[in-house]
Amino acid sequence: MHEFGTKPFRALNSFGVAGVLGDEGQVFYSTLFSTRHTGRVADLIVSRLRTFGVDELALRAGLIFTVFEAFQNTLEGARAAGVEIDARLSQKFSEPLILECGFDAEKLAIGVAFTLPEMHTWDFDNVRLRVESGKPGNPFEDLITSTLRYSHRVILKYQPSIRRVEIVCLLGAMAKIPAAQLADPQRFHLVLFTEQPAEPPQAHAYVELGDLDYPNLLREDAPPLDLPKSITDTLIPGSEPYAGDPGRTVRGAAGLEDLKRTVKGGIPEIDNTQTLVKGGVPEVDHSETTIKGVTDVQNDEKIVVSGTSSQSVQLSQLSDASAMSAHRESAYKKRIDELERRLLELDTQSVGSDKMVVRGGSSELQDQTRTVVSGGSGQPQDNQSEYGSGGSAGSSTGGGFLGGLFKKMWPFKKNAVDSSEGDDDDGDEESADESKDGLTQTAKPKLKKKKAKKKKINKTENQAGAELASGEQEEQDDDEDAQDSENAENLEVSPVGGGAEAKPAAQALEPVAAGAETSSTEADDLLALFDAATDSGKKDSGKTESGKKDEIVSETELTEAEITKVAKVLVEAAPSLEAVSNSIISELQGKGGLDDVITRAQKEMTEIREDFKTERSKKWADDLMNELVNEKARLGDFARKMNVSIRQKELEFHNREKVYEDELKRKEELVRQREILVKRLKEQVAHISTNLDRVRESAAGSSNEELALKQKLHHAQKMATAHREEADSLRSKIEELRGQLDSSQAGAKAKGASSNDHLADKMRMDKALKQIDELKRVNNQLQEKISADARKAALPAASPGGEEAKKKLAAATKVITITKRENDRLTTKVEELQREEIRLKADLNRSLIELKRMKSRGLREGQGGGGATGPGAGGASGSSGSGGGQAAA
Amino acid sequence: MELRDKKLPIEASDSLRGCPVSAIKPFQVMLTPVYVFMKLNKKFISVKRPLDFFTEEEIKRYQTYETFFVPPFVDSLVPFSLSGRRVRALLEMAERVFEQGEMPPAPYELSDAVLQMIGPLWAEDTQIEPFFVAVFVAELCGGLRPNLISESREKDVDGFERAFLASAWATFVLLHLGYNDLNYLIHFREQAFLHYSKSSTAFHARFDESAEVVRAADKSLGDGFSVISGYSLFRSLSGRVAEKMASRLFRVKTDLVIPGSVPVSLFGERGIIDA
Repeated sequence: MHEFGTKPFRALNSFGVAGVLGDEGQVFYSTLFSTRHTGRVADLIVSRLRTFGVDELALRAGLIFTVFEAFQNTLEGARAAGVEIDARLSQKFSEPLILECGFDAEKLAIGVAFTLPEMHTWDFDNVRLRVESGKPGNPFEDLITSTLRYSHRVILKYQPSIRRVEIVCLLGAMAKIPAAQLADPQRFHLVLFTEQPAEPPQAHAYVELGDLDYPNLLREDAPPLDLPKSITDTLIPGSEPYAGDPGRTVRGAAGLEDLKRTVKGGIPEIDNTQTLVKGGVPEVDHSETTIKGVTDVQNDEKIVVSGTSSQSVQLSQLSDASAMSAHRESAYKKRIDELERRLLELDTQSVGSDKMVVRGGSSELQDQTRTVVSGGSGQPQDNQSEYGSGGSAGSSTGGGFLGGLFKKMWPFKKNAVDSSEGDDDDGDEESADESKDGLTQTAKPKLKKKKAKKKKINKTENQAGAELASGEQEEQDDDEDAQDSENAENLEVSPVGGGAEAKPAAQALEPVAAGAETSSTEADDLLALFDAATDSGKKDSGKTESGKKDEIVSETELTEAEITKVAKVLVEAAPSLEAVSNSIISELQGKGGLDDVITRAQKEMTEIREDFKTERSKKWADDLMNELVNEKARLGDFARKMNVSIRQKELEFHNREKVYEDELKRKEELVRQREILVKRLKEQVAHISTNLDRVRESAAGSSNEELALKQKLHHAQKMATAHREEADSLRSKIEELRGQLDSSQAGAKAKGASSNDHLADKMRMDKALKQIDELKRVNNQLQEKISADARKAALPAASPGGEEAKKKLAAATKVITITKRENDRLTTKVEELQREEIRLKADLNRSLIELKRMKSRGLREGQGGGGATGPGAGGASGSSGSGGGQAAA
Repeated sequence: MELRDKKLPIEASDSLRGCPVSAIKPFQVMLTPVYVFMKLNKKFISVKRPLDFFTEEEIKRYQTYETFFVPPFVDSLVPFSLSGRRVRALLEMAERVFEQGEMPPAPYELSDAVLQMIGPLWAEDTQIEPFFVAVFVAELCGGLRPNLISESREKDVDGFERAFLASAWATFVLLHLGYNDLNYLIHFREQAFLHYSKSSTAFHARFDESAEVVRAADKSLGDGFSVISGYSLFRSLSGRVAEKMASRLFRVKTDLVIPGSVPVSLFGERGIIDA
């Protein structure tokens, strides 16, 4: 096999993968010292070569198998060498592993080179057959077989002389290698180097893995901040994107301050001011504001409407209009607000309403709140009025359905009611009348206008409210005029709005939103309320959907701080919302629920029906029941929607909670890291302070050392002075010796000996000797003369001169002896002086040596203070006696 | 190596740095000339030249002087010494983490970090003098065994100096090729020293990459003191090691070298040897 791809291999007789790649081949390489990083290296290489077009699994298998092959041999080597270390545990290679991964346009080559252990014996005869047949003969071949399974080609290079092995796996890029080559069964190739391998051919580039942009190549994708749109967006509420997205506002929520509304009664009997918070604040306000009327009330009847019917308690099937329901909800809320406003306005003008209970609540409850209007049963005439007049404090929700109901319920005319009522309290009557009139006066023109406008009301964004409004408006359109006339006719006949007979109906309708009271004032109030609601509905309908949405959006924009506050409150209130809904549901289901009321009303109606004389009244009763049933259905619908919205809110809260929890965790982590940093810094500071203390101590210590040194110096100085004194004493001794020497010299001088005199003495001695010799000569001459003379004297005649000669001879002999003695003396003297000289020299040398020693000692010890060096000892001169001879003349 | 200033006047004391004699360890190769102050002569006399070392007896003998003096040339060695210490600390940390059974940095991470530490040691055009590489490697790998250096120096002083420089140079090259195991580098340096001082034939029969590095380093060193332009030199050589080294020095040249930097030199005014 000499090729794999369109081009043949450049060189197989060299180590390295460059030989199997083309000229443009690049080689990535890394040096591995352990197997611990095999995975990460493989990840990096795979990431870098992702676009190469090779099977990723095959590439990873090639890398890992080749590395494992090398590592196995390392283990064998360790075992063979008797190394006790658990090489598998240490995961270290005995020698570094050079991993090369090269690629060109067609193929990818993975090469790993290592040295087989010494004890390894490998029979490479027929190794190719064994490997290709899948029947390996030893673990080494077994691994090669495994490598071959995941590679297109495997080349094994082996240099037996140095047991050097290289395994090269080749993987072809997709659609680049000819099919014939891929189908070639001979996929394993063995290259045996019997001589020194050649230098590998040059690669286009060798790139160390550390030079790659590994942070980016190995970067993990982070989860997205924004979730993609849910596929079940329309099915599952709350599946819209995270509320935590800063760009998104919370629908339906508004600024707390904006949503707060204070409901106040306009008459002095109102003793509570209740603040209602709607919108995002999950406050459930169950408070009641009790407004007492000015007139005596015999029946403190409360008609409270809240919640929904029992049939709609459970979270029913969610319709496709869940999204629309949210819009409707907000429209309801707006309508409620406006109605309340109107109610407030009207409340100031209300006349002697008996008792009204206003029940406020959260936004989720707004749909279910109903105004409770109850009036005294004994004063129908005061409360009766034409339609469109009057108004009462209280809020009505849901638009005009109440008004329609009341209109239907109240068939009596105002005048008849006025006349039929008793005079319990003139003042009250007057005030009631005044208020009634006022209301009537103000309401009447409105009524006329509204009648005209009513027909123009079309579909609003809120279908339920529109349905109600339109339905009720249609009913009003149909029945208004009829009722106006009928009310007057039936005032006395059917005292539904007043009298005792109206009571059972009113009692029966206690839990119902519409009051079945006979009070014309109340009916008028309700009618006015209805009108106000329809007006608001018209206003609502006048707005475009987008405008409403913008309004909603604008209302719901909150600052981040508010959102966090809101979220906290929402989270806290989430359970309370559920509790609220459950309470409403239980209230509806409980004793005195709507179902019970309706059934009771139906029962009583069947009883009362017998008493009805006219068809009209029967029809009225039937209509009333129908309305009640419809009302029940509507309430049920509202309850359903309320639950839906509650669930949505819950989901929203839950999501927000999660987001905030994550944020909190992150911040806690930050805080923890900062704490760790602070701790580390504190440790560093402590370390630095200890070092500082140490330095200070050492400085103090160094000052101690200085003291010690000073003491040492002082001591040395003392020693130096002592030595100096000693030197002085020695010097003085030397002086003495000198003096002695001088004296001895002087003595020698006196005796004729001094060092200088010694020379003179010598000279004298020489002279003396010379003289002696001369005298000897003379003596000899004289003796010869004497002998000659004696001979002559022997001869006749003694001469008178002979005696003289004898005398002279005797004298000369005397002189000679004297000279001899003198000579001897001088000689001995000279010898003595010489001896003295030697002794003195020795003394001098000794004293000099001592002095030098003292000097050096003094220098060494008193070096800081400056050793005093004594002056160099003067050279003692030896003295010797000089043989100054005095030559005897 | 012949010093330019074997004697310095007393006026040079302002620029000289003091070093206690007791701080010098025996067989620690000096990387700067060492002076003592002769009080009688009032001069600073060089007692050791670079790439020489004190024996124990010599240190005892010089105790009386108490202080050795080194020239301001020693400041040129500081960056190399610091880099050596940093790389050593990094490799020691990796080894420590490995031994604790945790996951140390990956080889490519270590290689990248090491190159970023040693890259700025090269001057513009990837120039460097091997003597300063020896300073770096001395900090990285520590000292050679006393018996090795004393035997080598006794045999041949010039041979010892070259072996010292060449082994450091080979270790430096190996570090560039991604060999990031400290123990392996220390072992390799000693083996290379023995090879270059002809005390060992360990690399003669080896053809693994480290043996190739030893041969390539020998070719690329020159006389051991002249400045080397690494990138152009290794591009001119053949062989896998030379190619790899050229590739790494290309990155050093383009990304890590301080532009306009001049190689620190033994020669010249700031050096200690006459050019």
